[in-house]
Amino acid sequence: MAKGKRLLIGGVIILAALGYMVWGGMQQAIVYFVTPTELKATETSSADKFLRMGGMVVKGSLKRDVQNLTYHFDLTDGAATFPVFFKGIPPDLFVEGKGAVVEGRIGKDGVFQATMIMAKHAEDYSPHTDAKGAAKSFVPAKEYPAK
Amino acid sequence: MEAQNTEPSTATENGGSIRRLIITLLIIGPVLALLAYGFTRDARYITSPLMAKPAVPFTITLFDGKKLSLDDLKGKTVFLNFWASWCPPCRAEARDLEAAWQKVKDQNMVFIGVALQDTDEASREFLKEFDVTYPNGKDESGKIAVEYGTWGIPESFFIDPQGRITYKHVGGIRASVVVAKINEAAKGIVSAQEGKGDYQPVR
Amino acid sequence: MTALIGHSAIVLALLAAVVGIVAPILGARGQRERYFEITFVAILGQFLFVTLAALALVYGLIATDFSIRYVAFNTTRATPIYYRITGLWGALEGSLLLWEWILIIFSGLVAWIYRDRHKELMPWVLLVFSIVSAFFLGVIAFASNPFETISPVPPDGRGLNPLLEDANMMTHPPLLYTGFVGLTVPFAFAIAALIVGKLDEAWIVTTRRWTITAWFFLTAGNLVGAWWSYHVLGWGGYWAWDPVENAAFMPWLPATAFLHSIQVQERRHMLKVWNLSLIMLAFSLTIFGTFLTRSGVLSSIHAFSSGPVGMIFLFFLGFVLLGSFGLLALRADLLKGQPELDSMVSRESAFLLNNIVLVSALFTIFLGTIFPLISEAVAGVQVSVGAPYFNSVTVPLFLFMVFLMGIGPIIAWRRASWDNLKRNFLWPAAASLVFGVALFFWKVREFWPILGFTLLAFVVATIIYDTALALRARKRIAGEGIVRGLITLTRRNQRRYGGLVVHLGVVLIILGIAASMTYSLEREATLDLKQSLNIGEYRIQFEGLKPSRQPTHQRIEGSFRVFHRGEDEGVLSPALKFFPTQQSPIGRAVHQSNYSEDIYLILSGFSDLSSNRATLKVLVRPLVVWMWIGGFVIFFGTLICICPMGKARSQED
Repeated sequence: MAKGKRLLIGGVIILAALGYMVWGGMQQAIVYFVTPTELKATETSSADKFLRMGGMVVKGSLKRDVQNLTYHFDLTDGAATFPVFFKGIPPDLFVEGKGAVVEGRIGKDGVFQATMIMAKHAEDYSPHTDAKGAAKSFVPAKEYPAK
Repeated sequence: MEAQNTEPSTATENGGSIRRLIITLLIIGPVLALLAYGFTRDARYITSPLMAKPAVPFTITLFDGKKLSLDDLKGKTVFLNFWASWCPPCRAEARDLEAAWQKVKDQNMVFIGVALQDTDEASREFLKEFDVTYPNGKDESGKIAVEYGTWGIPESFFIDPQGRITYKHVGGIRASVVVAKINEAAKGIVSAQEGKGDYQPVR
Repeated sequence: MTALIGHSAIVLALLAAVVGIVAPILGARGQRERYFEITFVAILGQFLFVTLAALALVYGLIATDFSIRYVAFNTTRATPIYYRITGLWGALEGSLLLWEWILIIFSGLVAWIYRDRHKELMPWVLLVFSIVSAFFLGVIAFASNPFETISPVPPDGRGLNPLLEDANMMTHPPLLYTGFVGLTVPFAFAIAALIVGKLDEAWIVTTRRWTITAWFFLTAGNLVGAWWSYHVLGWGGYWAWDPVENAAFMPWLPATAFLHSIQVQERRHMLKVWNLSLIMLAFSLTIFGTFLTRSGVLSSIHAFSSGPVGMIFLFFLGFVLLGSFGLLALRADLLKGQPELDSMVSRESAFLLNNIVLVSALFTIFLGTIFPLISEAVAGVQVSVGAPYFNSVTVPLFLFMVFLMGIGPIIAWRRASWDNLKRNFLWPAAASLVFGVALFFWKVREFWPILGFTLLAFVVATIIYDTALALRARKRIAGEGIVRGLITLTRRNQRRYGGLVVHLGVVLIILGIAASMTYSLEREATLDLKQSLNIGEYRIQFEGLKPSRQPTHQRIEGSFRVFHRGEDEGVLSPALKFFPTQQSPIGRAVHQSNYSEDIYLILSGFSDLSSNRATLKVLVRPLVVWMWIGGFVIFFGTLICICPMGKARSQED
């Protein structure tokens, strides 16, 4: 029976180590999908989470600095709006009055610090697409009509 | 798993097999169930925030060259359908749409078809093939589709005389549903849920 | 006409498959010889009919027979012939047919090669093949028919996804399918052994080469996929832990574990249940992969059409899992009584640990992949799991695996004495430690990279040291020089030295991954004409935009002159391609490689042409090229393992 016990202990140790790694890994990699309304409601509890938020870019709210590649704008779902800051290259279809999905965290100043913007457009209208940064607009673009 | 190698079986031969079988089932079953659960939802699907909201105005050039603007249709009930000639569910519903149109065209109602990601010739051929008589145009830049958050076609919107979207249906739709929903729209009734049929994701 | 021939051939093949399922079952009651002949003919029949169907589809594609829907959607009149043929696996229906075709070729080969051997096992082996084949044929015939016709016949087709028009995309799916199908061979033998109850090592020894071959194709398929992602998708990376990529990678893990643990069973008759479980798991994961890719259950950046096929694959997955593991559970009584581990310090335990690491990696990747599903089912919360999860979880596991790669092939079986350990590992360990310290003083200061590079050095050192000792012995015994000695050693023990070469290849791949993961530079900027941007030792100068008209699309090219340490290295021209049928442009990144780093340019956007201003993203990724070199090394090592080389023959079969 000593053999069985040793196996058991070994198994428990391995599982515990795995569990710890999985838990730790998930902490830093889970992305929660929210709307501006939901985010407004849970602003404090969402503070350290990595979020993906979809909405419409409010007309007239977009301030851009082309040289430094920085963008300030508000995102709305009709009910609530949330300010967003982004540094980088947004996709071509990112414009005021259009849908966009941003990914990032809420900064200390209460502004959503986006690390990525995805434009919602007919070709890949989906906030669930995966994180490949700038590659977003280069995604295999054609769907084969299946049965 | 290694535990099985060395652990002496305490149960009788037969009881051991059955116990192992049950354990196997208990492990595999939930995994399969979880995967099957995946089919009850669509990972790419998001509920449209457009229901009960004012429909975004647009102007479209019809295939006969005329222009049609949604703003001009205030006071009328509008059925808006996105399609493409290469999309099988669109072909499947084409006759239903025309049939519905024939039923309601004398009332204060308008049907608009919007072709997406399609060539002019293919669209025209499609319209001819299915004898479509209501106005159809092409969404040249894809802007209308963006405004309406179209992500799969066919996709249909019902707009009441006040210009609110009352119902949205992703995928193929039947004539009876079109007629029922456009009548609801005429009365300003907003559906609680979107409808779903066979559709083709737009890429 | 072509469509009719193709579809009839599929239906006939399906009938043959049904015969192939029924005959062995009838044969079990007696008259085995006769029924085996029927089974054999059934496999042959499937092979002929499926080949006919596949050729019919290829013919349809080449002849642009647009009355076939599949052809109309995957070629145009303008498509070059090369890409017309690759259209065979350009979309779901054709891919399934290709898979089935490879499967039935493998089945035919197995049936032919072992026709006079393994009298007891073979009917059941062929039964398993026929079941798998019948499943695919059923899907092809009824759910996802590549020979469906359209009417009226369109004047021209829609064409292949432009991203697939790439030479490497041509090789990626067939390689992967060959890997998947290759795993069917050991799986079929394992099931046959379970049914018959002959659970000695025969099935393992017989399928060893098939397993190695399948493993190679899996590896190659994944590598070429990464290569394609890096060179064509134009985002600067090669692996994104996307569900579809994970689906292709996951079978590799139990397959690798299996490849190692069967050696323990061969040598020490241990781990029987474990080995059976591994191969069942590996095979199930190939089906799971297709389910995942085609069901739309998880979202992926890889656009695949969904349809009823996903659900059908899920049913088949359930059938395979319950059937095979159920059988294992029933037969487990026959699998007892193996000796136990003699010592924790032995080759067995190193291999066992390697297995635990690989299966742990599989478990964590699987969990991360389906976590969005779990989260939604259990908590109703929509989430996605990003690449950081996979990186943080797998990096320690894979580094531990690297460590075991150094230990496993060298350490003694049964029980390694202190002397044995000292003799084999003292110098390599010392050398790699010195290497690690040197790296630290040079410039590598972070924990994971320095650990990783030290472990990689350790593996290389053990291989070199061990081979050197063996060479010295050859010199003493036979007076052979280095080259002659290497040849003799390899011929005497192909699997060992082939395996070591494969390990070197894996080391190179991990080297490339580790270096490019940790030391990549990335910058983006909007540049006016003649403006430049500095990154690392490079300066990139913008020299203007150039529009051009290609046969299938419009192209905007940006010219960028690259200076490395002030030296002019020529112009790189990343482009954006505008296809008329697509709304957003497709990028064509360019890069320049040398043995130490790649410089990778992506044109992200541009102003209107007249003002000549472009937004550019630049990446400098060190050592990436070694990943691809590692792939070739693995290929070479695999060849050494499986090619018959005179003497070594006698140990096989």
